[in-house]
Amino acid sequence: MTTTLLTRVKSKLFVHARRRSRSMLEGEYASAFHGRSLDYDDLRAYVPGDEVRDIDWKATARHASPLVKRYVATRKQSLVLVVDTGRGMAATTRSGEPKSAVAICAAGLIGYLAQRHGDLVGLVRGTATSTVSHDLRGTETHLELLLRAIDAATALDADQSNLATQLRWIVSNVRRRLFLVVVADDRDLDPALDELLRRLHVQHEILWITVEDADPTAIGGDRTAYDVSDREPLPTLVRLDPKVREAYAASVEQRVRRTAELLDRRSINHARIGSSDEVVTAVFGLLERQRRARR
Amino acid sequence: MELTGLDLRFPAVLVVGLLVAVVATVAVTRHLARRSAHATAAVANTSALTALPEYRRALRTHRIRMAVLAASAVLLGGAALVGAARPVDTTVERPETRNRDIMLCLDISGSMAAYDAELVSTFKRLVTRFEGERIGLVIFNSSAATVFPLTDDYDFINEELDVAGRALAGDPDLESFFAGTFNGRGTSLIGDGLATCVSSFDRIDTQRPRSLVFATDNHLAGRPIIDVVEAGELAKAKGVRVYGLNPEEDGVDREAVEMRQVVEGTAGRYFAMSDTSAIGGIVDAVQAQEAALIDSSARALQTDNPVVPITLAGLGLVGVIGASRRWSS
Repeated sequence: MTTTLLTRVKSKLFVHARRRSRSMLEGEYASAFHGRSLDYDDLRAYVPGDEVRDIDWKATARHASPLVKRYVATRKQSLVLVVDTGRGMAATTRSGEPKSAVAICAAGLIGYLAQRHGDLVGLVRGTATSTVSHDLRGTETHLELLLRAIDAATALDADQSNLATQLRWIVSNVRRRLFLVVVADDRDLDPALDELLRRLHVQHEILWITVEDADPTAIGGDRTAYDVSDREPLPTLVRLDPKVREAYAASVEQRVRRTAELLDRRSINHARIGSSDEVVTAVFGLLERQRRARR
Repeated sequence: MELTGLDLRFPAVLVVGLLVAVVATVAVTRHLARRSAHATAAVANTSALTALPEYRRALRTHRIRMAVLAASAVLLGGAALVGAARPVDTTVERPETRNRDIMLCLDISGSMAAYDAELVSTFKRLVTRFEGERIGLVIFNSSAATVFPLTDDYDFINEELDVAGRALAGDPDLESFFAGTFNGRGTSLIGDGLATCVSSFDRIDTQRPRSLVFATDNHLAGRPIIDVVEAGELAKAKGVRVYGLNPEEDGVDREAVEMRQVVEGTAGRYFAMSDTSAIGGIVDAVQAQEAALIDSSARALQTDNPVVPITLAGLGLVGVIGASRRWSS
């Protein structure tokens, strides 16, 4: 591998946004995950995205540029990426990339922001049958290892996807408070998962990222589409049938609405991403909503 | 004539065609497999799609369509192959059945006038016993005239015999029937009549069994060019068997004896008209003679019969077009 996965994530950030908006993203991250406590630590320069009410106006008056207060209790947060590495994530996403590429990009971006902010980043990944957890550390190399672990584990011959396994693992194994960034497969959230979310949300803070599935009715007729779960091909003429396409679009819309309603009910912020090009925008929007929700 | 059913002229075409079809099928399948191995898209959670009733319906239609398409293609290809192999109807023909020439030779002189109508009906019954033979009719009085030449058109023969029957029964509208029979010296020139009849056989150069049914009382009235005995020699020389049919109004007279000698001299047979076995005897004698004379080698006659394969190929084509077209508007 010539370029590291993290470099790719960073390049996404640089290509997509200029330096100013990058720091703005960092500000968004800080505001989203670092609340205010009473233990004031130090001041740092204001970056766009910081809460206006965090600005230390007196210090700013003495200084030429705005300064923001930092609080001690929130210095070291623990961010855990919860990533599905089942074969469902090796499938194609809307843009034609593997879903795992989008997952790595999103997880890498948030992990990078966290690491930049001095937070610890960990990973819980797995399939329907097994779960692997990685240590919480705050270095770039560690983050790179995490991303590589995701990349290596996600394959078409891996086990089936079921994120409930990982969430159940966290419920029974994690005692401390975490920030969970869940990168999920694109499927209906069943009542069992809803119950898991309810329990997790009591203890942890959750961001939910759904990696979209490719629309089988939109994949060109020159390619044979097949389901990763059973390798059963979908007859091209059938999936491209206009009536089927219409019905599928309607059903997807319903499913997205159901998922959104469920997550909103649990007050979990969520985003749907179907291309690695959308990751930066989507994560920005996600952090923005998270910040507003905390207020 | 008998039908032995469908046969193929080029059965090798079937073998070659099937081989080509198998090779082509294997090649296409491999190509498709290779192509689909190259261009695939792995999609997750397609149960959201496959569970849709619209998808199920479309899938069912698709499967039916594919089944019809496959069946039609096989039907079309198979029928085309069979058609290319040229199915033929083979009919086996027995040549001797068409090889007999029978000339009916009727004396219409005054002495025979009372019997002619009956003789014609005898001829008619005789004709019904033959099948496929060529039959001709010559009448003679002082000279001979051909009523119809040798033909196997039995409708025509029956028609002509009906006309002859009516003319001989005295129908005044049919006087012309007797035209050309009064050109000789006298009436009832038996020898001339027989000689003319013997000469009426065509295709002398071919070896054919020739029979002549000679109905006369042999009562000469005039001066013939050829007498009966000479005419009998002529018949013998030409291989014509003469079957005599005599009304014998005066019993077995001198003329009857002479006639019997003449006809038996040509290897034919002599019958009195009152003899009920006359017709059967003549028919049997003719047929027995042919059996002996003709080398009855059966000849197979093959005619193309592409109706079934063309129909099936048409059905297959309709199926292929119907199944491959998108009917949904």
